[in-house]
Amino acid sequence: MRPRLAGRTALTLCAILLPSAAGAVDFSVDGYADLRLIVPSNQVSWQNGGLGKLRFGAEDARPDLQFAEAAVEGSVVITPELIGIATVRVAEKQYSAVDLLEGYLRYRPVSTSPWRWSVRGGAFFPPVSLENTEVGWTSPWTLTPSAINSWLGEEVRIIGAEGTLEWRSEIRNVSLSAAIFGFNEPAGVLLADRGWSLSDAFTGLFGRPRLPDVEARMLQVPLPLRTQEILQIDKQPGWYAAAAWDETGIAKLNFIAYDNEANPSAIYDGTIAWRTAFQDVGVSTNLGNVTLLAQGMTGQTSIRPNAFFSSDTRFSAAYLLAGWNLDDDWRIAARFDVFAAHAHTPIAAADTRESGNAVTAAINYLPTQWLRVTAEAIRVDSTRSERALAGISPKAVENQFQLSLRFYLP
Amino acid sequence: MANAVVMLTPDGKAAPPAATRLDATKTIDQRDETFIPLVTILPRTGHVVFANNDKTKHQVYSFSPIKQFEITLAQGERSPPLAFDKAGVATLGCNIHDHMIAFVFVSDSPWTAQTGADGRAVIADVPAGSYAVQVWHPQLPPGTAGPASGVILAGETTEFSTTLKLLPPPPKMHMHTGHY
Repeated sequence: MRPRLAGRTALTLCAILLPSAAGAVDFSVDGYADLRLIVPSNQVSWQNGGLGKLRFGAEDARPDLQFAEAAVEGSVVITPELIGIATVRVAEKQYSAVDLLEGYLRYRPVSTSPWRWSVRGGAFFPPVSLENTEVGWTSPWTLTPSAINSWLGEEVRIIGAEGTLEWRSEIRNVSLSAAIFGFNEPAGVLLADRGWSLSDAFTGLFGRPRLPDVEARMLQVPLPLRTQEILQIDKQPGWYAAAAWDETGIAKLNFIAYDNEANPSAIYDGTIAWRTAFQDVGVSTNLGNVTLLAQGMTGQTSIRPNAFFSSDTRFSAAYLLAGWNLDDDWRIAARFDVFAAHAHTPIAAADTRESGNAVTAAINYLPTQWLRVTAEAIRVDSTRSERALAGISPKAVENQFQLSLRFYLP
Repeated sequence: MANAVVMLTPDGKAAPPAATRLDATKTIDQRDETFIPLVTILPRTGHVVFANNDKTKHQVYSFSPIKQFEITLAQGERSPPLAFDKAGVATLGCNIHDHMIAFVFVSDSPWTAQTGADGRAVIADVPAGSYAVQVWHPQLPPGTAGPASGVILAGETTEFSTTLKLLPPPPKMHMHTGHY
């Protein structure tokens, strides 16, 4: 059983779009606006061209009160079997102030047998994150997702089609999904050139996240240097295959293997195709009022733009999150992340190594359906050799505190 | 613990038809993307009417062994009575709203009742005799039966208590669940 969906404003439109079995098209919206008091890290954030791991950071770090973001998810029930979903995100720092996080159609015929199938097509997140289950791809536990899901939000989005087959019973639910997709070929460049981050600055379909200024200086290109994320560079589609095993009342196990099948020598308009493949395993369980989430990811991203240069980055990360529902209004969470990346190039001196860990603690107060108050403290301890090129110590310990007032649609 | 179902079955003899004491037709409402009530007790051969009093349409379905059906209801629409001819538990869902769930407990015994918020169920006017007592709850670990025991009634009020080992309830938090 899942808790009752709340805060969704439902409207009924006339049945003019498509005929439906029950004679009307339902349209509903949910969303939020997030106002934050931020005590940033003293490392320049990757969002500002630095090598800081957090969303907010500057050398002269001072507390700041700012509009963090807003997100609106609209869903339309065209027929009981066919629904459309689109999520718009608005944030000051993102490349396009108003951007689309996802937009897709899902067709799922009702089934009165244990078997059920569905397909969806459009732009969407692969089913990787165990944390980001709330509207706007946010987490009910923390403001900042784990390193794994921060990267998913920054670089991994597909435009394609996914099919899912489920087998359901009282004891367990098992599902298998497979997708074919394109337009995710720059994915991996942030992990290679910047490394992991812990940040909820998700990239929209028209987004262009910023690469470190030190990279731009080495390439002798003007600042800021940005990368596209939603771009098809070669003619080869990518794929993923996912499985979920939910043993009711015990635990749920998720697995996904992703490969964008990009040609690492392909270049379009200055953007290189990054051949990125990863595997992710996730486990979730409830012990009384305590929810435990864990994910582990390993993968590689490579480019071969010419005969003289190549880059192969192996990356891995994992986290364990414990969330505790104290009562109807309060929930607290603690998470421990570890992450590592090693970019190997033909010139050993140009290799980049990174390793680190993060500790996150958050407390959430939800006095009404339309307000969530979250206080979050995060500490990231990381070593990245690339920082020496920027004239700073490779080792950095960053601290960030945020107090968020998240106002939901009533 | 609310929503537990207590059922008495006489030892060694057939019970009268369940419909002699249980309401033969029940209504399951849909409001705020929630089935109301969560648990409905129905006598075997009884009927359920689904009433959509929500702001959105619903596609109610069940793939449980005792009853398979699907029905789409627009806002304000009521279904025709739907017969449940086999005893057992049917789990209901909505194909549009995955978080919606409800249960229909179809009983062969007229002496079946549901606990309230105080965890108590009262079954009145039970003839004296020896009975098997079965208890069921939606949060019993799947695939397991509730505690079964016996009780002898001799024409006076008899109290029977039992402890259920249940799965934890879902967190009652304010959620703004996305389509993930």
